[in-house]
Amino acid sequence: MKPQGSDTGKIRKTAVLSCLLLCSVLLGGCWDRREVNDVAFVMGTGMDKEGDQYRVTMQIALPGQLGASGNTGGGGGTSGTKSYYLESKTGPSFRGASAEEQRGVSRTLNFSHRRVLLFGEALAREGIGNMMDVLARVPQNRLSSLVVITKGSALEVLQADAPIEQYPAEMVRELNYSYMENPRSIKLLLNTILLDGIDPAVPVMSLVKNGPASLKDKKTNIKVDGLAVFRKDRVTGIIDNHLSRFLLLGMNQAKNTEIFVLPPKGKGYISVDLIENKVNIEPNIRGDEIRMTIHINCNGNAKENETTFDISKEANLKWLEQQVAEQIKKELGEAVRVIQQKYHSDVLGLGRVIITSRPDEWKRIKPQWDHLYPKAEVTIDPVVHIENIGAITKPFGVKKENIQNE
Amino acid sequence: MKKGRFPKLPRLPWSRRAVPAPDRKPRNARVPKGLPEPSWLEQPLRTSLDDNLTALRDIFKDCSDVVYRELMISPERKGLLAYFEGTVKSEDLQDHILRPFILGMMLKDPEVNGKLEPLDETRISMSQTKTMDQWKMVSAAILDGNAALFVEGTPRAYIFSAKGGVRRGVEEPQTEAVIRGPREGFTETLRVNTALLRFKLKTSMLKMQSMTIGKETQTSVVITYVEGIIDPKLVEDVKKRLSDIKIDGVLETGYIEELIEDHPFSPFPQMQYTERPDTVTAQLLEGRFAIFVDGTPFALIGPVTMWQMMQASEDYYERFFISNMVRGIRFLFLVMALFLPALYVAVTTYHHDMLPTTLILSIAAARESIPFPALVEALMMEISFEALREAGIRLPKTVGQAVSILGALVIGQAAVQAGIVSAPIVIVVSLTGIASFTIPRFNFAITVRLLRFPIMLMAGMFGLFGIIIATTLVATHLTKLTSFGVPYMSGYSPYNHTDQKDIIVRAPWWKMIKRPSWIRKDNNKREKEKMNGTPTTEEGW
Repeated sequence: MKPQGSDTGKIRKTAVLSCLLLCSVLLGGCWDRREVNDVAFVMGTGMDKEGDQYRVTMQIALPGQLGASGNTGGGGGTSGTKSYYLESKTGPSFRGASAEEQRGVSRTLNFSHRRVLLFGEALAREGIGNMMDVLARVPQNRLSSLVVITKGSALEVLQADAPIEQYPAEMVRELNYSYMENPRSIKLLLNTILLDGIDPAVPVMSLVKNGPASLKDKKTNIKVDGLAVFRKDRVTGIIDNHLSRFLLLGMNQAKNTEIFVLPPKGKGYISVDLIENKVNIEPNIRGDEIRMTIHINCNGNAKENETTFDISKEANLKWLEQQVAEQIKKELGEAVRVIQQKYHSDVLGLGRVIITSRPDEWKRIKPQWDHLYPKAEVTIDPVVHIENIGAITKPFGVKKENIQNE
Repeated sequence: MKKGRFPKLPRLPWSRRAVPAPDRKPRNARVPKGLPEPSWLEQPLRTSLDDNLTALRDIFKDCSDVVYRELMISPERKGLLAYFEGTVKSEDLQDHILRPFILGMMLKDPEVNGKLEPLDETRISMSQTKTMDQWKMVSAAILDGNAALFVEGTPRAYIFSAKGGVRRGVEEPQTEAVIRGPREGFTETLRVNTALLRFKLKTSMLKMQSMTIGKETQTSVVITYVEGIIDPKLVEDVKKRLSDIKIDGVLETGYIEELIEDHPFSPFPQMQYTERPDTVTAQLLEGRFAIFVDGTPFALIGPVTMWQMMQASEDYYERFFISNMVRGIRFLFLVMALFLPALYVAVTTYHHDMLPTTLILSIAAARESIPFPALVEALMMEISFEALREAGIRLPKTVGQAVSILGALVIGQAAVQAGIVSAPIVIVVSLTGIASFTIPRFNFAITVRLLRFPIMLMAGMFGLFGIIIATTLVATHLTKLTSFGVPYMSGYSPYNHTDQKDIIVRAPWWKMIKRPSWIRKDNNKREKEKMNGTPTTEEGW
């Protein structure tokens, strides 16, 4: 009754064939399936040198300890109260040590959420350029991870309690963001290493206590402790906290720079917070004599006035602005001298300035740049403008008669 | 043997599908065997009333609801009134047939008295009367709810249209409620429905062509359109498809939809159904046709496009700002309804690096003690949700609450607390559930819900790659799909610039001067000149 021609047969054949093809799809499915609870997320890695071996310390998140709401099913076999644990192994290379770690961790290590890389000072002084290879080769390693140098071993810093964040690695990351305008990611760091005429500078972190010994609730914490300056891919020195703030100003990386100024008369400090900076470096080359002028334009707010000095007066404010400029001139000059002569590190990118503005001169200078750089004369020309002196104009806790008005 | 395919019909000229080979026999060509044809139906009426009564008793054998009422037409002439109890309005019969004859009003007229033809349509005080002389027609008329009067000595039956009986009145549509807009909905009575349409379209161009489908049900089907707007070839095509239907019964528009659609194996609905007269009117004005079926409050509309499935009648009643926002949300949630569970599965099983660190850690924390893989978890929850929805539809209202409590507590909370499913998947499933309810057309929403499962499986097997493959397959199918020769994705594929005014966005009425281009190429202006309401004055405010 129904047409039973070859047409129906063909349809049936096609149907059977496509069913078989669909089944073959199932055979190959899920081969690289990896559930979230088969994965160990590495939040941060610390690297140290031990003899000729690398020590790699990984901070691995324990999601079971995060206390998901309503999850009374238990913490998946993890114990303790910390939301992370550290796994530290040694190996002949960075990757070698990582492979060693994987043998001791039942879950697959996942590096795609690693946000910070900590290099121990000793390792960094030997150079880090070579070991960066694996970071760029394997896609799981993010080039946006931040790089930090630790005073002492990286292992120590990763052990911090850092109770304010879930992971110490997270704290390192957040500190980085509050310390510099553009935190040094792997990409930025390597760019700077590979570029002519500029050397990288990376924040230094160290382990500190959260207060004096008499503090009852003792915790260890992480703190920004200066700036490590590089020469090519090796750390040559560490600028201390005080000078590094001014150095950052010169690098145009400063976020908030607080400057304390003494009043003309009396005691106390006036504090000025520089919130917006513009840096322009002007080269002046005559033969082998290289002069650099660093023009810095700063906008700031007065944050504190513990003196009897009245900064609401136009003239007084001008004086204050000048004092701040003087201090920048002095301290940045000191910092530049240190990096020029002591550490031979061009973190300000003076060479870059010549390359971009006088490429012809650079060709001539380039072979002897290492020799010329420490001798370059750097002048600092800061212009400070205080925009906002605060909600009150006169010192708050001082009687009217006692306020200096000069 | 497998079920045959629907007969392929000659296509509209603009259709891209080739005309099929004509040698195929249509599916419904089979004549059911074994049913004895009542011989009376082939014959004309007899002169003798007794013969006719015998015939009636034979035709309506074992039909206890048929009524034979004998009466005297004149002193010499007997008459017989036959009808089905409940389908006629007995008051009408009493007032206009029984009382006048019995009280002898007709007999007093000397002209009428004694003549062979005592009955004349002009003398019956009923609005619709007909004369018939074939049993086939007479029985059909009685079955249709009319009363038939047989008179001694006349080989004819007088059919009085006294259709009545208990039918539902015009009520607010249950499935398509609106905040702003007309609240009347179609009923089960065909003529009420056509009247509701007439109220809205007061033009002689509104045509309603009637036909009967269903060998046993003899269901009246009306195809309606606005002449001058619709493409005449489309009307011809639809009428041909309808007349090709051979089926024993039509109870709902769904029968017809399935029998006349272009692609019977596509999961996507190729016709729209509605309970709302205003929706039908709007569609007729855009050059579509509608099919009414007696006995159901739904009208079928065709041809449709995918965009039509995402439009609600309120889009056009509210100001266009609001409509656009609502439409935006609807499309956003359409994407969510299709892809959200699949994305969850793909991301948690393959692409851990695609989420922000804190989010993946939260998901990892929630999934830490879950015994099932993400795909199994998602399938479990989605299937339970579908079951819950299905259970909720058919339950009496009083029990319905119990189901929602069970669903919310057992599936939602207890399952999470017991560590059987994770909290994120509950959120995903609820969002998907809500998303699928934002789609205005129920039949389209079901398709979306259906497609979610293969996409989820693909995501579980191949991750995002699988989702892309599945999406490509669906998109390919959609671009190939047609509804009465009109491409399903009309407006985007093939692209038309002016149609963009009513696809994703809804342009203000004074900007929508043209009708959708896919209906008819010529004569597609709503108004010849600028539409009323166009801001024309300088100081418009």
